[in-house]
Amino acid sequence: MIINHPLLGPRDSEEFVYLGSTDLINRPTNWEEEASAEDFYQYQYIRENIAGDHQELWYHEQGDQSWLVVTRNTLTHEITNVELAQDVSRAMGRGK
Amino acid sequence: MTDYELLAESPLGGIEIELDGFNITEVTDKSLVMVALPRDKFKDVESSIDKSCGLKLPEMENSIKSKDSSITLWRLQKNQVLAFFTYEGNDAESHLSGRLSAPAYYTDQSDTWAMIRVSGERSRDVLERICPIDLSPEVFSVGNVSRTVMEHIGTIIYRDADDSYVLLTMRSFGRSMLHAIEVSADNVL
Amino acid sequence: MSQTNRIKGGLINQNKTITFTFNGQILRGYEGDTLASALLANNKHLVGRSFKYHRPRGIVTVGSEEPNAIMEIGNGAYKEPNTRATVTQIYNGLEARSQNHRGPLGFDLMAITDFFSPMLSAGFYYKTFMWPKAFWEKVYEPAIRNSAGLGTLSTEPDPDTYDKGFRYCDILIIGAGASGLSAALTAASSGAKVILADEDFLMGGRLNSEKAKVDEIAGSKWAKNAVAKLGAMDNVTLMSDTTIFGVYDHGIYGALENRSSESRVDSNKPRQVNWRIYAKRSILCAGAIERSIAFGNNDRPGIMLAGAVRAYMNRFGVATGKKVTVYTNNNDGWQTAKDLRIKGVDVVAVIDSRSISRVMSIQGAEIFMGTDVVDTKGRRRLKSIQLSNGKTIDTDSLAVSGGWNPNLHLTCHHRGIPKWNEEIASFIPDRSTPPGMSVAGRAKGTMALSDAIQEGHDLGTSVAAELGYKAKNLKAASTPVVSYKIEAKWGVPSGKNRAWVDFQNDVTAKDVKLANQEGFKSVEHVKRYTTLGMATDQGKTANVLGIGIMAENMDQTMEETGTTIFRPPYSPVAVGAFAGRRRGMEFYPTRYTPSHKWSEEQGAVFVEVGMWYRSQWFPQPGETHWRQSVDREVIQTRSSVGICDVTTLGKIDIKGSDVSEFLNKVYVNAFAKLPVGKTRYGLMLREDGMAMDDGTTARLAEDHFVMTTTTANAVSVYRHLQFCHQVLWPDLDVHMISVTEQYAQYAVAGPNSRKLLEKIVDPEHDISNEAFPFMGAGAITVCDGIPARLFRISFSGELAYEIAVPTRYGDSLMRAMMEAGKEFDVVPYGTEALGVMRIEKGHAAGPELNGQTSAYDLGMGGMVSGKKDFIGYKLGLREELQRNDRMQMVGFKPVNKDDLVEKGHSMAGAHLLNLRDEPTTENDQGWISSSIYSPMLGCYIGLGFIKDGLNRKGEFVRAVDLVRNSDIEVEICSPHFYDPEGGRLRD
Repeated sequence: MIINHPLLGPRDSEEFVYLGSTDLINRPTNWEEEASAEDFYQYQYIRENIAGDHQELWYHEQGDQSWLVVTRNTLTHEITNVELAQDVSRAMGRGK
Repeated sequence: MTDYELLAESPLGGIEIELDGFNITEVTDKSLVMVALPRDKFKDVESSIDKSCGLKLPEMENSIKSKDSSITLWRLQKNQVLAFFTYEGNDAESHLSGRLSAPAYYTDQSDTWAMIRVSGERSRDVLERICPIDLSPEVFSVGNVSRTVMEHIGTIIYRDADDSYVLLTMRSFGRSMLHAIEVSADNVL
Repeated sequence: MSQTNRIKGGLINQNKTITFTFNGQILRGYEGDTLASALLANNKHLVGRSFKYHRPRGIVTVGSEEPNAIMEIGNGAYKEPNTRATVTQIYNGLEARSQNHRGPLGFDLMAITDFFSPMLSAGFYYKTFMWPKAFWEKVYEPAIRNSAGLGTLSTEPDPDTYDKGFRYCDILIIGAGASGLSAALTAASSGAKVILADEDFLMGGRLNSEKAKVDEIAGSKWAKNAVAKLGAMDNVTLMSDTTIFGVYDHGIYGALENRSSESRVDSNKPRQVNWRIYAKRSILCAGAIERSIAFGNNDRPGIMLAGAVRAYMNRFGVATGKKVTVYTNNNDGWQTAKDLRIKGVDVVAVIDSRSISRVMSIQGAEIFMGTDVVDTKGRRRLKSIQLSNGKTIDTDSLAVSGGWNPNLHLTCHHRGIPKWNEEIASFIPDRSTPPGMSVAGRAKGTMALSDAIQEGHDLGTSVAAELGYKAKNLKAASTPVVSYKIEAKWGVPSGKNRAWVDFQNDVTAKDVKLANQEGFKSVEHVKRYTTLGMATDQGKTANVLGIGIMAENMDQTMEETGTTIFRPPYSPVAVGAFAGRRRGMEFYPTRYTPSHKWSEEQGAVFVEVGMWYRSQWFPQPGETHWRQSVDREVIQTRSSVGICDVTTLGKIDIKGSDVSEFLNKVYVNAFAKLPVGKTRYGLMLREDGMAMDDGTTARLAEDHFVMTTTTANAVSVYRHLQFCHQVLWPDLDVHMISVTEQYAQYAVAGPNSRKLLEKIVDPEHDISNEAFPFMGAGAITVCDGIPARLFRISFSGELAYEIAVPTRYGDSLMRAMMEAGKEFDVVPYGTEALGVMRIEKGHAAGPELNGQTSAYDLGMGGMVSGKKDFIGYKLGLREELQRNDRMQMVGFKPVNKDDLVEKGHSMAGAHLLNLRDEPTTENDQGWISSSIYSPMLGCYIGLGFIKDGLNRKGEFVRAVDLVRNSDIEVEICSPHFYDPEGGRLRD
């Protein structure tokens, strides 16, 4: 596979390490609340099994070491969008 | 004063190999310092290095040389530049921060890497057996720099002249990298 | 008797003779011959025995689709089985042997299986050898395997070398026949970067085998000119003898380049190069593959495909017989008869299954229209054929054409499904080709040469245009228009005679029928039940024929029947070519520590830790057992001073204004208040609450920390930290960089460690206990100004330091410290002694951080902060992870100290049981994770996990090791075996 890195252009997927769904960006922040146990459980374990466009985290380990959000079709392997995870994370309101 | 003297050693003992149309040479006169750019200080850094050395932040996978050509900045990451410069002393960090005088975080990487220059008219023929990125002369121009993986080894490749490339691998991998280049040369030449 | 079938002409060099052997017989051919053409020139039609029935078989095709002529080439370790003679170039000294017969090829002792054929029909495996059950493994299978089969392996390591490589292009053109060359000429004229690959060593495709003129000159000459023109262009790479074997995602193509001729001259050169080609677009011009017709005994040596007969004659200058007959269902078959006549070869008859008027007149040949071949005679070589009109014709070579199948294999590598085209009675690619791939010429079903050339020509231009290149306004090559007409013909009723569909796997029309009758309706099921198309040729000549027969049996259309799925590789690829250079020591790169050279000089024994080579122990003269070395290293370190290279531990420099906050988020314990000049042990969890890694982190300046990780997790921890920073907390001012390789780091441990270091460290740095206490850290200089970092940390439990210098001084520092330590009887110690000392001190390591253990399980529950969020905090609080009956880490020591000393092995891997319990899974209480002989305690000790361990200290349990047959009583104790108060490390 080839991942079209937003800063570096197309690179062989051999340079990358796969992690999983971008659900992992949404780490709960309500750790002090009793009820957050369920949120963390959902965050850690519960995933959609998507047949189609899947947003997933890849790490450019043998490259610029950026984490990326890759939109990949699980049926065709077509990759339609690649963004820096840092940008996505910030856009989702994560900061410090 | 102590009674002991420490001797510096380059990763590959300064190896030089000359083949038909292809040469392998260890680069031993350069230092490397990673310059990390704090997010809110990009502008400050840019103006400081311009003022001190006539440098700009290079584009991604590109490099820029200082006015006197002694410092080359490589942009391999968005928030960091790697400075490749002529210096053989023990304090590359303060040497470079002194030269650039920019508000960044400096980390010495001189001992982290084994640096091997491969050159000659056959260099691309040899490299295409190990390098997964496109080295076509018009695609990977002089001054381009990239980080990739060759033979399972994370490698930085920098094209410093028409038929000359500097390969950097983590120091402990140096011998394996040299071997990989030699095998390629054996297979190709 | 030499080359009796050779005729004039062809694209071979008849001035250059090449000598080779076949089954020991010395034969001659010419430069440019394949093994198949040279054998045919020598009138060798019988070249092998069939897989199942040991039927005599001959060469059928002229290309990589060959089902029959597969041979063993070479000798000894170089022997390669199942090599297709049709694609093997001959060379002086080549040794070829036919396969799958006992005794001589002409009289195979196993041919008797042919008479038992009624027992061996489709599915015989499943039916015949059912009972008794035990016989399957012991009797039936070995017997079947022995009698059926292919060539044999040498069983020696492959002495050839292989390489791989990477190439990039705008347009990859697959196949250098008429359409491929036409496409290449226009595409290359645009300036686009073009790779033209062809599996044949001679580019030109069918043009080399046909008489058709292109641009008024011989097609082969035109092809040669085109190749020369392309070869002269800088933007074109020609790759002949290179098979594109697979189409992978996003424009990645697997290409196997055969360089045997080079490696034979210089055995150090790779035999094959496995290229990964990255192409923005590809144009498939792979041509078409001819198929046979299933008539009675259609497998005799001498019966070949009509296009192959033509190719052997036109390209290789070989007449396949003296009296040739042609059997066809299409116009192209007639071309063979015509070409034979031009060369002066006798054509006895042309038999056409179609009831139409004759296509052309063939001098001297009887013409039979609306007639079929129903049977043949001749065991080792065709003697005669019998026609449906009752006539028998004597012939030694029958050229059969059942039509041409577009070679669309590669169009289906992304699950493309071909569609049926009635006009050419074949499957053609539909629009579901892999993204970026276009198809031209006969591969697309465009059968007329003139159209195929035009199509390639146009695609070269349009595909280049898609990429922004403008092709020059060239004219497509011209060639006479010849139309291709066909009426599908699959099988001919052949009574008791068997009609073969898949030659290589010995599948007949009857087998297909039987499968259909027994309820196998899906083409995929029929394939697996009959093994049709499952041989090394993957049914290239057989599949469509088989599908046609199925469709007839089941009275359905070809479209409804469908094809099986084509998968890579297109043709067989040696495993060696996939392995490439990665054999033996080159399977992975090797990493050496800064003290490696010095350690080698000391005769160290090395151990591979990941890719690292680390010193395991340093044997001294007189030591005959590793334990002697390790015990000595431990005792000497604990009594005076020892040095160990710990460079391999991961080291990460972390800088920025938010680092302490960041560390608080990734470690279970608090780091925010760690003062400058101090270091702290930290435990990292995964989000699920399980321990991930541990190490120390020192604060060297307000905004500068250096973290250590375990050797094994150096890479994954760095990746995790980058994830935490970039993905979870992107706005923290944190900058990380690995400095693992920047510093050579040595542990200097033992009561005399400070005294030793004082001789190395420059005197202006006070490292006394007061100035540099336990857990101190800081920048110093050594040996007259060399910058260094010193950490007062201890894995051994002794007064100890870790000292780091720039790696360039690593070797030198080791030597200096050994020199300085002479007066203290300093000892270098390896990973084994390191392990002994950590177990004596009860430190968890790899075997304990196994992904199933929480901070509490490791006895580090007390470290876990409840005042902050950190990775693994919330899920680590889950009730299940807090239960007391979880396996908890404690120490174990034998009740009878000598128990294991006598046996000479540790407790590692033993399972723990209550004293009176039987050793069963249900009774399992836990296990010993790490165990060593402790020279300090004089017995074996262990760390391990046992249910509710923290509350069971002082209890006795059994440590049962069923592998080493030992069962001893052990006491549950604190894991801190040695100096539990920790006084030694604070001195």
